[in-house]
Amino acid sequence: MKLTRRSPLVILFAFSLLVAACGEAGEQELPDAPTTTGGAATTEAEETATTAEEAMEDLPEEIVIGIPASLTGQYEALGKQGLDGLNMFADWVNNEKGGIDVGGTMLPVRIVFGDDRSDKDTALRLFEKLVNEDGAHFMFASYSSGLTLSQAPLAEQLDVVTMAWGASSDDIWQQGFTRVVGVYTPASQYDHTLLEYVANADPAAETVAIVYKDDPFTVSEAEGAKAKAEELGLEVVFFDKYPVEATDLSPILSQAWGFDPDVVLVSAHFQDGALAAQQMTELGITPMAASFGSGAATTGWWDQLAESAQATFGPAQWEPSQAVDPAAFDADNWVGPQLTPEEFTQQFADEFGYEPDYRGGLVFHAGLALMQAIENAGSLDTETVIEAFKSLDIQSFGGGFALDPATLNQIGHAMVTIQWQDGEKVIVAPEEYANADPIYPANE
Amino acid sequence: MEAQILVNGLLIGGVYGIAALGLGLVWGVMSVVNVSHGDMLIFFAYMTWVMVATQALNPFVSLVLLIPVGFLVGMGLYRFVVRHLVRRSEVELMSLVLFFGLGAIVYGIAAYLWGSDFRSLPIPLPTLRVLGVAVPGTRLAAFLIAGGLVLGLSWFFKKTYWGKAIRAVAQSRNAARALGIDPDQVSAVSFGIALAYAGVAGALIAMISPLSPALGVAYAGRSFAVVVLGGLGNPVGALVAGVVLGLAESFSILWITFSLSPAVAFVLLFLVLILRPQGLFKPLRSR
Repeated sequence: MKLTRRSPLVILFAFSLLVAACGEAGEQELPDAPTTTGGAATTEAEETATTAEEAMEDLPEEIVIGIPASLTGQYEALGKQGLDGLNMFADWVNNEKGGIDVGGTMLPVRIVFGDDRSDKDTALRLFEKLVNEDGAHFMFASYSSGLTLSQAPLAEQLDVVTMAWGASSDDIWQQGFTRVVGVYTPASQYDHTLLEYVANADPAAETVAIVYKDDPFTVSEAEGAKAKAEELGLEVVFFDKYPVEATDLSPILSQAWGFDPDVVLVSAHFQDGALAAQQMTELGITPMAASFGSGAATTGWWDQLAESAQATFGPAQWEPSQAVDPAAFDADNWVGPQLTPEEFTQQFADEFGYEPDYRGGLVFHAGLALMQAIENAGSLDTETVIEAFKSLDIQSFGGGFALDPATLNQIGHAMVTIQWQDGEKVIVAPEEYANADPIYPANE
Repeated sequence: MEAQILVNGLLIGGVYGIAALGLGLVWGVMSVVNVSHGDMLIFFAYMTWVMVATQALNPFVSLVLLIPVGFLVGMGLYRFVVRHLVRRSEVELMSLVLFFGLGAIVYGIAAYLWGSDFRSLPIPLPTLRVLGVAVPGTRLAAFLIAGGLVLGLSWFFKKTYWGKAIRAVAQSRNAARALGIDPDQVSAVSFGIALAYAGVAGALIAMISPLSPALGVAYAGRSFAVVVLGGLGNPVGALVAGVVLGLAESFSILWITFSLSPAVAFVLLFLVLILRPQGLFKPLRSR
């Protein structure tokens, strides 16, 4: 082909259209056959037993657990952490425990996964593929409340027990699903610990302003905080939301501060939480306590905000520095390796080269709960395992695990409240997990 | 409370104004609709972040450095890409499609290089208190820089040879050519100025907002509203329209609900298109 001076333009235009076309999620191809890790090196899919009786008579050679992992896209780092934690669980089951005991037969675990690209359509197709084509007996949902919620109906249709290891939006457990198992403390309870601390420690604290992002997770968190504040006798003087696309929160923060609240709760993810913290510093908004959602418990919070992060609070599902009484290792309901969260974190870091946060810790914890439910059921049958889950009450280095039998939402896991103090993240509440006194009031 | 919201809207409005200027300039001078403008702004914002986070440069120094960088990128983009479009009768449609694709490329590169996690800079300047109202120093500086540069560009258009040549080309390429002006050269300079201002705007955005590649969409929408409201390519019009948009977004929390603030820009856009399609100020190409 003869190149003319317009050739670069034509090429760029064609390339532009190609890139734009590739950006269409609906046209994406699913990744190749899923990668497998852990367990026996079997390539043939196992058929899922449909009844407890069949399962007893015809057990597979291994238990296949599937996970659509967000290895690219917006949840890339968190999805990888989930997959790493689940692989670590499989290694522990296979190499240290010797498998999962199903009615007296020890079965190894094999993980099958693919990249869901943090995209709903891909995550749905991958979920179905992992169950139908790759023979997953049990599933771990994709990371995030949004993706988990989209997969919940599929879990029902495919009749597969699905561990919601990366989701806490209350919505998921308010729709009557019977196969989705909660692992995290629900979003509606995220701020309870801090509010209880303030109400108990400071009779002078009377008012709360709640500013929240308009998405299902943060709406659940904010509504739960409002209900708890009112239950504790605190007056909610401001309760309003900002759009997901907001790039400037100063108007809503200014308006909230106009009500002179003692406590400001910003129900947010990391990015908008950090923006709120930064703009509160800029605007001189200095309540006695300010909390910024789960993002504030992320390791990068101080790196991002530096001094603006000083004395900020945040709720956390689990912290590596969380104390565990060694006596708990001998408790009847202790499950899994006898490690403190700190020891687990070290092992994880040694294996994968980075320190996990609660995602890495609690995906292993979710694996332990599934393992125990299967062992209690003595079967791989979905209904039998779900029934076993309903009466499960265990603890591990990841904390407690017990479900509301009616909804399968988590009720046994406790949150902690962290605070940043001179660059260090410390646990300040509840008292049994605390490793430092809070800076309170934070504005003095 | 109202005073604080007024200050917030006013200061952010200055940044909206300068952010839209480059879009209005290339649209007004050569009828090129750069729908990748928002992605380019955010790319420059990331360049600021890189210079500050990895080279420990003062963000205001990075802002100065981005002026020649933006100018050269703009000149190059015109010479190698846009020049082939402006001679066509369907230049607006062609440029729309081309820059849509270019925006996808710029977005993709930003997402590849810096990921989808938000990045932000520490606050470079302290907050002032004036009559009980907090005036964030960084936002005040951003507003003053934006205002100064916008007024400077207005002076440039009125008082310098190149400025007058740009206005002449905006009115008629053929007439300008008859007067001995090279429209291609003038358009290249215009594109250079447009991206130099985008560079400055990107640096200011990096100072006041956490960055993610997706942020370009929000700024593109606002920029279109500002350009239409302020008159194509009119610098003072862009500044005033930016402030109007900033105030409207801020006061939406009192008048309606803050949840609807992203729609404010488009409501303004529709109202202007229906009631005064030429904008509130004279477009650059008007005589």
